[in-house]
Amino acid sequence: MTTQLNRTADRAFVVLSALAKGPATVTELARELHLNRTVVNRLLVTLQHHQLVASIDRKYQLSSGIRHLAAGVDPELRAHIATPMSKLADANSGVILFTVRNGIHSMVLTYLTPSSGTGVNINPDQNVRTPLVAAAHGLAMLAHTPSSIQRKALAEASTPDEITARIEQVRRDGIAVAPVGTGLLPLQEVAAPIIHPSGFADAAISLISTPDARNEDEIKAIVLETAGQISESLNQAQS
Amino acid sequence: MEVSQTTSAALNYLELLREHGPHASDDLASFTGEAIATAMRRLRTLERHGLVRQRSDRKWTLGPTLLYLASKTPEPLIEVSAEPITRLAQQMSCTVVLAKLAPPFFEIVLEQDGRGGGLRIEHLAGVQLELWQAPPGLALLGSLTPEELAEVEGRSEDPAIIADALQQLEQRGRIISPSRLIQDRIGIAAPILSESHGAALGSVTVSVPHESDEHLSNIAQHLLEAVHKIEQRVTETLPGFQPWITRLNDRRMSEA
Repeated sequence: MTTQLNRTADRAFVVLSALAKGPATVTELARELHLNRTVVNRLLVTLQHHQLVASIDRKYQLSSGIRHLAAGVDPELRAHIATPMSKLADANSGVILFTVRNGIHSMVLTYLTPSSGTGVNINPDQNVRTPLVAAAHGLAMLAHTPSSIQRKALAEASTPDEITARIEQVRRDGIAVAPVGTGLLPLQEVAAPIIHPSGFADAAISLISTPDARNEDEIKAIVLETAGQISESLNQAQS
Repeated sequence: MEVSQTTSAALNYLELLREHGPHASDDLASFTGEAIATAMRRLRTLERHGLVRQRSDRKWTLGPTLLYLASKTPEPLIEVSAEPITRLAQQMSCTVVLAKLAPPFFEIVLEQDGRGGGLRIEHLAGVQLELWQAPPGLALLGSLTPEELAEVEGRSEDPAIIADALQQLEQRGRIISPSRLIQDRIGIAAPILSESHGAALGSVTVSVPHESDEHLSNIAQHLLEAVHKIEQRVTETLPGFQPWITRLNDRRMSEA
């Protein structure tokens, strides 16, 4: 069953996202989002009422209420992944991603970029939802999600049979590997799921690097080991 | 103007999850007193924007988009200071800057140019400068620990600059001093003090060409009024300032 969305609230969140680009007047927002000024004004007043935006010098901007809410985003998870991610970054030249599942999409919770020039020049966008079937970290999670989620994700895939086979392979290997982006430099993502005692995975850790940067088996082993450490540390904290 | 009840009701779910942590849909619906179908509609709308996500254990939790939005949220000090600073710049037809303490440096976080002002904006926002070098930094000296003050003295070209600034701050709550960074400029600067413990959260500086003493006194009076307005807004917006106050208190604890 598909749940309908709240159209007005949906527009309010579009307005909120637009303000991430910087302060804007009601007129500027209305023009950019192709919305009526009165509608935009009302949505801003509502967001202001919840302290998510503030009005300064006739321009609206994101406000301190956002920081308050953001402090509640997976605080325990973020505390447990900081050290293992840092160690993984120190030992490898590449971008380390920690992603979480959002429905049939994934989102970057946090990431680490290499400190020295490695040729891996990507800046993960934390505001983007990527279909689970479209990235190694998504496949890593998809291999350990409830069947209802898998069905929905596969329904959106252009090659469901191929994705199903890859999910099976992730279950066998414990790890997912997939090429990344379409840049000049070929990159690959090696991802491992963070498995909960229930057997499900709502998060994954991955390393994006050049395919020849190191022996692939070695990279797979270290990513798998890091994912295992994080899973164990989280499970111990919850038990 | 009235708020959008639909949007407000959806935002209530964010506040619930912040306050009570991850919960299942029916728990959240019980909290709000809404039907589960209504709660689901609101949660799915929030989910579409990454503001919440549903885990495999069916519990909803706050989503990563909030971290992204937080990274794009201006500093609370700018938020509360922008309007009084803009007004001051326009009243005095001069350049006004807001600076933050980062010992042994200060950092300009906002520059505002008054219409018809004789000076240009230097576009120094985000740059760290030595505290002793210019009035925005000198106005913050009163909040340094003895060790930090000693370090600043060691880095300065003339300790008398620091002694003079501290004396002015103590006697008048503001300083009037030439800039050692930019030629032919005088800065009239005052610290923004936190009501709870008196530490400086930042400083406001009016920058002018060399002026008569009478004009400088007039600017200083308007400056102190603007700073007082900012301090009132700091008190009203206290939750947003908590991290700074905690950090400043920590420093004082370690000092003790």
